[in-house]
Amino acid sequence: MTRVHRRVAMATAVLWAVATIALSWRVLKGIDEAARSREALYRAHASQGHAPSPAFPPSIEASALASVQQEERPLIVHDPDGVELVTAPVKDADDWEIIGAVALYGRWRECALRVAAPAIAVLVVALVLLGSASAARWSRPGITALGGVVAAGAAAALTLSQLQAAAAALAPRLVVPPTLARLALPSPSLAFAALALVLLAAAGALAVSAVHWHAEAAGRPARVRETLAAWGFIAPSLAHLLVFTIAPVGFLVWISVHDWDLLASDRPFVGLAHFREIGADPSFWRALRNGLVYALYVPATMVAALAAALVLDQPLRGIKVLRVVVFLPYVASTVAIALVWQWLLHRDFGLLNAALAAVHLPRVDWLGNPATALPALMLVSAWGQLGYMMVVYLAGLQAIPASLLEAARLDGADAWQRFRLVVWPMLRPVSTYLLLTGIIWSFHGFTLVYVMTEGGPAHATDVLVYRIYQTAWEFRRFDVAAAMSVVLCALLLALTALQWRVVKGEPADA
Amino acid sequence: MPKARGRRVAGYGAALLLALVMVAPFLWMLSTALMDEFEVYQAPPPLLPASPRFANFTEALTALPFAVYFRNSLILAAATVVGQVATAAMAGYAFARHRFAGRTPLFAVYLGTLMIPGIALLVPRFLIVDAMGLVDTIAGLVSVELVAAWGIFLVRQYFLSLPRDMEDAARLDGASEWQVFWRVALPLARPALATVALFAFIDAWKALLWPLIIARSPDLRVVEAGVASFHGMYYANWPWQMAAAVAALVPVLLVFFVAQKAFLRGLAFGGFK
Repeated sequence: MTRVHRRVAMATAVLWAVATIALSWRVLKGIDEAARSREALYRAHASQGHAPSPAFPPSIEASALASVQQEERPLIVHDPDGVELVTAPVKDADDWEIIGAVALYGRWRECALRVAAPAIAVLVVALVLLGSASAARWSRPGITALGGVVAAGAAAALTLSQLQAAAAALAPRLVVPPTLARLALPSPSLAFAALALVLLAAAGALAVSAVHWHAEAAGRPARVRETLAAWGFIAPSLAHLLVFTIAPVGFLVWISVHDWDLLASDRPFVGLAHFREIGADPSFWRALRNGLVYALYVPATMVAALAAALVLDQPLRGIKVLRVVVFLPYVASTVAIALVWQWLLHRDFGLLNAALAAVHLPRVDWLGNPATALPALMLVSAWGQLGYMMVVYLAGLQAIPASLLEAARLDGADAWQRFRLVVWPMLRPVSTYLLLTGIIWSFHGFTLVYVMTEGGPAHATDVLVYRIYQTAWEFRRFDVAAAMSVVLCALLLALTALQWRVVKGEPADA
Repeated sequence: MPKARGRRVAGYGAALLLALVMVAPFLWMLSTALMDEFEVYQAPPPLLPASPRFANFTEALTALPFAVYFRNSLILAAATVVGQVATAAMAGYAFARHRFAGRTPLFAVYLGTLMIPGIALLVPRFLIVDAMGLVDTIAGLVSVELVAAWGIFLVRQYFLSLPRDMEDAARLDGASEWQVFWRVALPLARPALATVALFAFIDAWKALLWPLIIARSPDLRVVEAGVASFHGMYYANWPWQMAAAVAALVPVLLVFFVAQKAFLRGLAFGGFK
């Protein structure tokens, strides 16, 4: 990290801290006016009646809480360290029944520490990561930068969810002053406030560096001109990436730890509840397992493609035509492919079963039988990928110097030995690349499942993407779908990181 | 040398077999599309229609408003191509040619986005587009794929392989940065841009999941979604389904055959994202 980066990081962290503290001050001020006590809120989330009661800090006497609930008014208690806490009862959304209590820190300082400190810590980590990525000190700046972006999103989400918890928990209980009402925004806008904060933080960091840079480059107009032009060229794509790729990562994590009911006006923080829900859902595990089994078509197809490439690796006339033909499945509309294969695999009138019948084999209900449905989809995918893999292998084979093979031949190596000792080691990088990109790609598959089986029969072909689609757009559980997406995202990120580790010499210069 | 000859025969045999395996489903699609509705229900099935029935195409394509679907798919594909080519050209050029403040961290951010799997971002992207009020609009349909980080890297790589003399000469002649880009650099990058355009077109044409969730009303459906729902409505009429499938294939195959060179260049760059 250069000195400039360190300064930018510090400045942004300070800005962030000021913004966070100002925000929490406004919340506190609202609470103060309403409850006539100078308290901050301690993790008072999930108290809106339809969520489980909050877990109180163990340091607070249960009896004290009980009496708060009984007395229906704020009481002052002390935790074992002697820190003053104010507990307040929480009523349900109709302001009718008391459903819990919140414990508030008695002093403003402690509140600020608890609300702002974790977010600031995460932000500093984010900035350090981004800084070291930009200084290219780490060998993989992309991964580091991504970590930074994710951490920045997490910082924004963390700050906002805590502030929201503070506002939401007290809103039903207390007479809400206008300031607090404005802060206790309905959640959609809060989510977008998170997005706005990420963008704001990015803009702030940019502004700080711009000022710094301007002072440095003041005497060099050509450099100023070039920088402005370059940023102009980059601005459109950067804006799009920020809104549709970078911000959604943080937003995704945010949704996954909140309740997101399309109809409800509030979206309380629920921690890992959605992850627990999908963890307890056998169909999620089924989908994950199906995805892993489905991915096995990749190595299987690679073997076939390698065999084909070995046979075809010789001067043949018309091979160029083949090289075009094999890409048809990739280019063609996937729905069309799904349809024709469904027709080919038809139980009664499909061509495949007709062929089986012709050689006196029993007919198979390919897509109707849970045991064969997933293998059938794997077959279609293998057909789609075979040609591409073959072409890649062919290129790999032709890159092997003939002199190497000749030398092995002169040393008396037979065909198998030549393959094992010369060809295969040379093809290893290509194979790893094909394997990892193929597996990553296999987890993107949706169309075949959607058209051919709809995840059935009996969840036999349910895969994660299809689960996410159904959960969000058929069952309208966006929060649970987000939790699944986080799992999928983590899985694919891990695979991609592995791929980038293995494939050296990717565009990691700059 | 009989051994080499045997190998050659095996090679031609394998090539023929592979080509057949690859093409057969497409031929079967076409053949079924020309059969009579009940002709297909025979065991063993006829390989060719007794008499080709071209009316299947007109009937299938008017059973649902496919003209609208094709229009929507073309709009989606055109917007995707224009968006991805324009942004890839501009950003790729800037990253390759300009030395500017903030380049290194910015480049790291772009590399980072290359890692993020878009498929996992469906939910937040949808909710963001929803908050913008763009669900069930053309703008929402085209919004998310307007930029491809992949294309930016391809164009950048391409520019790095070109000499920059002409651009410098233009600058000395007093051309502005935009003129240098538009008049000098862009024409040179045509092959790379063709590759970006081709892959953008193919991806947009094949997209199903995003159009499915973002376009609720039937008159915003794209061809892929249209054929999929056609499949559900005329489940038993295989010739009609195959006719619709063939129609969905035609535009993208045409583009592919015209632009094979660009396709292979993209492949060499790791085009399968």
